[in-house]
Amino acid sequence: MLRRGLQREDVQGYLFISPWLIGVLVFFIGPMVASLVLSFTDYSIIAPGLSFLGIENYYEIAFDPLFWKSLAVTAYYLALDVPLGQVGSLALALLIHRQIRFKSFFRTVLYLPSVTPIVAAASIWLWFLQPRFGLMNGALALFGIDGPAWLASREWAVPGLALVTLWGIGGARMIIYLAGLQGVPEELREAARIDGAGVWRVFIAVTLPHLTPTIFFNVIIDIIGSFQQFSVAYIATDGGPDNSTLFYVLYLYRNAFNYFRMGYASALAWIMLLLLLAFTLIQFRGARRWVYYGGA
Amino acid sequence: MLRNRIGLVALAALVWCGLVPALAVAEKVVFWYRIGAAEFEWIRDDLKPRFEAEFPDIELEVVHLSSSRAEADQKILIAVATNQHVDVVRTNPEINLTQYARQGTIVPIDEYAAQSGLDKENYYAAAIDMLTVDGKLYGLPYTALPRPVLWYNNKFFAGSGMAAPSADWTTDDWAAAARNLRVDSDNDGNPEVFGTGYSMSDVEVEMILNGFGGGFLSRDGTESLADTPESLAGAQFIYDLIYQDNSAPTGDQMEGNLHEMFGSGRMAMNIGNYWNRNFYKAQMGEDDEFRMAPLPAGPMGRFQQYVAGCLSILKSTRSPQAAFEWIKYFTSEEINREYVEMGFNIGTRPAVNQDPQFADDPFVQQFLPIYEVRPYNLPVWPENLRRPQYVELVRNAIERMYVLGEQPADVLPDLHRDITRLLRQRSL
Repeated sequence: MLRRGLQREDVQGYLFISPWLIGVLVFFIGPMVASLVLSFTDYSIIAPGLSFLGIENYYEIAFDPLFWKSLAVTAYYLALDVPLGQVGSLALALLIHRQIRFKSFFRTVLYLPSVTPIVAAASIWLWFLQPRFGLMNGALALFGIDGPAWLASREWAVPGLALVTLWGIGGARMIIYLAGLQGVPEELREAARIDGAGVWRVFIAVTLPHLTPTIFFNVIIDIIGSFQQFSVAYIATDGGPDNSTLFYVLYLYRNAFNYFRMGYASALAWIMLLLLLAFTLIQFRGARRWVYYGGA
Repeated sequence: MLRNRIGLVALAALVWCGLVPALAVAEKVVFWYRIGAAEFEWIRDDLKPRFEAEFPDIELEVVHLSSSRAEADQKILIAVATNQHVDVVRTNPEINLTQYARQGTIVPIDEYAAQSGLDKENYYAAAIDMLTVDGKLYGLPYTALPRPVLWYNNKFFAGSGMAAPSADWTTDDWAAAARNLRVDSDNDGNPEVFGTGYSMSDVEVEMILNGFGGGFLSRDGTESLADTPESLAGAQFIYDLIYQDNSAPTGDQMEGNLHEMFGSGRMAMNIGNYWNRNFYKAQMGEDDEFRMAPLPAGPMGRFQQYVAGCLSILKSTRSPQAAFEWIKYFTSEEINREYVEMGFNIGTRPAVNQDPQFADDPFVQQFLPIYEVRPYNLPVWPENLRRPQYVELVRNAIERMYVLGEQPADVLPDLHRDITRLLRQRSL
């Protein structure tokens, strides 16, 4: 029989989760609602008061060349970083998963770049990719290749920044793949081997299907993370040269904190949220075709 | 009864003992400064203790803001919006002072100046004019000077027998000297010595464009001039130094920045400012012969912008009187003399710059005639134009032309379109 009204246990339960609830309301839902409201205003932080603009900010964004530029730059980066990052971190996880000597040592070493502060990493990579004296072009020159100008070139700046972030592929993505690999039933792999399957066949027919939920999770997280890329570009290129590394969030940041166009920046933030939501929904739809949940 | 009275007296004494130190706590002045590390260390380690010794009732807290102007502006404006305790900030009349004054971000200091008997005549009049908005004084200057200047390494001029840059130089003289001083012994198109550097600064490039009759923004701040034939001629002049004569480095030929190349002796001339002297000295050593001359005049004359570094009182001040004491102290003749001695910049008082003690300082002596150059009045800054957004666009255009090698005729129409779009924005 259903009880009516709040019981003692309900109150206790709510009290226990109240710090979290208050935190979500005050620091998450509250600012989100505020930013939605502000996206229809000319709020600037520094000037007193604000005016309601209707959809003017959204209309201006539609004709803002830098909005489209930042979207294109982010999409290009995403197209480089997500596939390469996924393949690279899965490959590393497969290597680490094998029974090899000094496994813990390799695991630690591969994880190290991802705990290096991004400011330090970006500063070092700036020198590493320096066109005339950098180690990268020095190494390419050994093979007779005339290296590009990397971060000083419009064409190579985004691939250069992707290299900086791919340096950290041994981080969280690899650890999640490692956890996924440990969940693949060993008896299935053994049965495949007994049936005569080679290493590659075992990977394609047994390991990969069992890893698809992990891949799905990693890809979604990675797309969201890549879309929010900010720090490396802010430190290494500040959007240049010629806005070729003007990532979406960097442009949003400039509008909010350099130009103090908080209303405009809020509108940009909501467009980003809608884009990510659409991306994620499409992936969930597509996932039914390729993600295998062990017969569930 | 007597016991009660003794108790009350004892209690009153205790309260008094507790109150007196509390009442005697010094007034705190929070000072946010945006400039190089050496200058900041001098203020924190040397000036602050001396100021506090002279004004025992004032405690000074010195905070180093980012050396980036945009970041410093961001922090200052947010501090005001959130009523954070900040009393004094550095402002730049040519950049943000007028906007700060009209927005009420900084407060007028006329009342404190009158009470303290401050004589404005002791400062360069142009500097005081720049700090006066709608008839009110919004700060005091510690440096004031025309910018930019043409730095040159006399070693190259003496070696080639060419006359060194002088006040009657034109842009044609500059380009011809740059071609002659370029050294590319193996003719591989990558000179060992470049004739000249140029500037990537929006303000300095605009000064060169002004010399050709152009600019980025009209003097009344209402329209973009970026795509006029005069602006194109000015931008093309710098472009040709780089890509036609190859007497200035292309983006690919740049090693570090232009100042580092000049300082390391790979460049005979460079566009810079007085405040580069300590950097060049550190790079070249005392013996090297680097000198400065006024910016060469273009076909329409010479244009140099008058700039000033000054201290203003922020709206969120808790102690305006104490804040004013610090400003007055920092810009006093004695401290200004020390400031010039340290080589940070030129002084803001004629009495300091013309002091006999600087008669042997080659930098001060070279700079004094540059003061004679007619300062170009500041343009009216449109209220709806956000400076960082505008600067971002102009710098991007400069980068496209001079670092990436795009023709000015292709870049300037884009810049014109973008500035025009910004000018249509609503006011802050």
